[in-house]
Amino acid sequence: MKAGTNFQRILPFLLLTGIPLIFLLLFFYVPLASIFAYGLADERGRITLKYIWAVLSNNYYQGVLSFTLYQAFLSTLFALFLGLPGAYILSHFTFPGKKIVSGITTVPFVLPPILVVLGFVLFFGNSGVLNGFLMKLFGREEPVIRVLYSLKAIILAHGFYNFPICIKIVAAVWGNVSAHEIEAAGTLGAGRRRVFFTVTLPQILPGILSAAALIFLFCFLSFAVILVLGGGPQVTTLEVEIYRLAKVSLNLRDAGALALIGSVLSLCIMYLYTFLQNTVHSGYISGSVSKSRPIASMFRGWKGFFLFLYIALIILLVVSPVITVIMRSFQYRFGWGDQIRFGFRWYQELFSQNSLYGTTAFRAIRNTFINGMMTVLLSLGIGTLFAYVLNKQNLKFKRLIDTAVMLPLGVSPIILGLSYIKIIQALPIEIKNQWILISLAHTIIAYPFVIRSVSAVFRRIPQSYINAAATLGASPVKIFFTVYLPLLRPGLIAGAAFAFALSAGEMNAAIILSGEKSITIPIAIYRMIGSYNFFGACALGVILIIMCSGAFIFIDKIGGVRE
Amino acid sequence: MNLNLQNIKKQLGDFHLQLNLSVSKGELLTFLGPSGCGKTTALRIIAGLLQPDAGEIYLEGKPITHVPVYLRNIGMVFQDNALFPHMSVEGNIGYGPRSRGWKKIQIKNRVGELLDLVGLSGYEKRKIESLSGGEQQRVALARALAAEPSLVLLDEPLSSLDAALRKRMRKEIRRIQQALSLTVVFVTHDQDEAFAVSDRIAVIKDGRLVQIGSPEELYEHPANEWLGSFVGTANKIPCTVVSEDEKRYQIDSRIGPFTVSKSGVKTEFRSGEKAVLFFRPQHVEILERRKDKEASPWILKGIEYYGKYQRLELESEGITIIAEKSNTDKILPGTELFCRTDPDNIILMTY
Repeated sequence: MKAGTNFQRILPFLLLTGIPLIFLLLFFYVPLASIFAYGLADERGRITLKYIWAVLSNNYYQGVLSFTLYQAFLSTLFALFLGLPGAYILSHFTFPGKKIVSGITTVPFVLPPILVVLGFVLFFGNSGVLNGFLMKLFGREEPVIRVLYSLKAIILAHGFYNFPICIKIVAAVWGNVSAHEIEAAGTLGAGRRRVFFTVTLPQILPGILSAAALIFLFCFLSFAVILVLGGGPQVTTLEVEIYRLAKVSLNLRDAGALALIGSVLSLCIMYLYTFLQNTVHSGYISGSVSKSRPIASMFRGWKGFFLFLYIALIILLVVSPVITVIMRSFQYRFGWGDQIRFGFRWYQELFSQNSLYGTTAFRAIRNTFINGMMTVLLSLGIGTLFAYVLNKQNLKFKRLIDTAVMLPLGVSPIILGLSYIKIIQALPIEIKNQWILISLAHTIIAYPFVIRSVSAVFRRIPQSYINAAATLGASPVKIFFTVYLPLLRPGLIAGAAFAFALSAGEMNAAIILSGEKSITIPIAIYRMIGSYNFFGACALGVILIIMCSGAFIFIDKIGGVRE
Repeated sequence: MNLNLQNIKKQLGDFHLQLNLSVSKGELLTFLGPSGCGKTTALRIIAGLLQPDAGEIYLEGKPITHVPVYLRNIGMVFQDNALFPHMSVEGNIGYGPRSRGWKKIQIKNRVGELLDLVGLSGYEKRKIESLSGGEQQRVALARALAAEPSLVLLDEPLSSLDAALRKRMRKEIRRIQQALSLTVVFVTHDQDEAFAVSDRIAVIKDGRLVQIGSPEELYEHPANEWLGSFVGTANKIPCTVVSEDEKRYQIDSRIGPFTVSKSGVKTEFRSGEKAVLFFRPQHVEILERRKDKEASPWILKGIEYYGKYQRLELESEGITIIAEKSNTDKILPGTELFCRTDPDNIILMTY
């Protein structure tokens, strides 16, 4: 009797935990294990390190690995260099337009990498906007700056992409440094420099380091930027190399070995980031937080000059590539002399579908939309169930489940895609619709973000609401529908919008899995860049921007929750 | 008996709750005790939010110990009022009847009726966030009453309100309880509040029932020293029993002899036994002149002004007592005074 009631009580919970865990097992852990096993086992199925060793002792792969780490290191330094002044300004000053400035710094967060790359090529390229302007200015025939297709371009793009992370994390920590502590140090006879090094820096350093670890991780895993702006054996990273091995050389053995090495490294970096984040001095605010001063006090003297320079640089970096993409989408080449004209040609072709461009673009838009919706449906289900389970009190194995659930964040989409390729090779049936695989991969990428946005709301639902509903006669099922669901709505909507935007902009898993039929917008843009149809790529980019920002505006309208 | 708790036991970490009590129909019983004493735990067990380790709960004669919360038909008002922010006033009050499958028209009428009762007629469509703290608490009460529960539980319902509003609301609660002759269990740590609203009070300490009775009983005849001090300011003087007769004990103490009438003393004392004299500040009579030869004088140490009366802190032979005196004349600190307490107003307690 007692055992029976206990089982009945546990059963719904088992189902709730079981469904998402089985999904995770089937579409993340099993494929991943199979590709790692492929890199670890010989023909007879015995465990061997010979493939790993072969890859590690290969000069070429050594070069790829060291370049990957080297570019990530330089990119991180550059992103910190760009972000730290912004963090100082945003945490110490109030000024008109502060909201706009901090809004601008979130732009790179929501932009798909392929768009950033496109904007960079068009803005910093040899015949790009910047060079066009400089050539006119100096009266030269040749491009003034040549940065594309080199390490410089990669670092520039990574810096652009990641400096907002630095601003966000460091500004939060810097703003928390107590003004009283600084004043106290002052009264104890410490000069400004001494106060900074003995009071401020020790408190913000963990924030800076954890931002650095996160940026390093992103640059380590960066794909689209390297694929387009890098190239050639010298400027290749691990991700691009795995992609090339899987898709071009069809060498899954080396790809598997590299994937294992790459995953170990990325998980180590992720662990380092988590560790550093836990050391960040947060929450405890003794006395008053440093007060924001009006920025007018900053504008005097040489400081003002640097401030002006900084804001100009940020606007140049963030705004110009995006605007360039939008402008160029209304341009096309015409006639013998390749004259550039303005018009709606690309958009017209898109809707008339009587050209190769039109049909490809239309198919890409349709696929991207379908993938996005599938990802939303799946990741919302999985993410909400996990959020519910992880927020349960007295959860057994909570740490274990938590780690298992968050691990996909540390495995690159390329490796995830590669593992799917390995699995479908082993399946007896042929999968014709790669878009299903792409949607599954996108779900694995997106659901941790759904968990985060749903959990944020979940934790704010007081237990007393649930108790109140129960005393008022509502059964657990009724409570779920009448209390939990309506209250979770903002979190669900935010999660859905996030999942959609992530899926729509994601190229890495998509490109490794896609065939001709399952082309998505980012892949189409990548191909158009390859065939020098920049203007057409821009038009498609604008549609991607509209789709993604549409999703985010939708959140804002609904009054979603931002963490 | 409407509610009956029989040998309820619950262990939570180091804490043990053990309770045995019953509440009559139409009675307002208060659980009073310091925080952490187990009063809220007891309430949660009655509601069904917490399962007892042992014992049985009867509601209107039926055992409900293993009935899930949502089938118990017990209304509850929570400390933080727990109104659903995503529903209107109407939606909140109608939630209970809706869950129990009432008809729409019935629900509508019931909501109107309850809003009348709590003085918020016409508030049906209002949003919860647009209500003041007091209004929210009224809606929470109305919501708990909506499905005509056989028992209403109030878990420190006034703790989030300011002092003036608390006083108004506790009158409201008492009025509504009496008008509908509701059976109510009220939880509070505030002794004034408990005294103002209760038919009976159950004082709980460390998971045990210390005493249950009317406010007067608790105040005038506390079961022990701790409870006596908990329900009001008290004077305690260590003493020795010298002799006894039919009606009285003769007592000796550092500050002189006392006479205590036996009527208010619950335990038996023998001569030579150590004990504690217990009396309230308002029972101390201040005398200008010495009446009793042996009584030693008190030195006035301090005065606290309370408007209608003043509280005097008096010291003699290292013993401090508090006396209350009407505010007619002024005495300066340092003055020597003589005091007297009626034998009927002194309780002798175990040492």
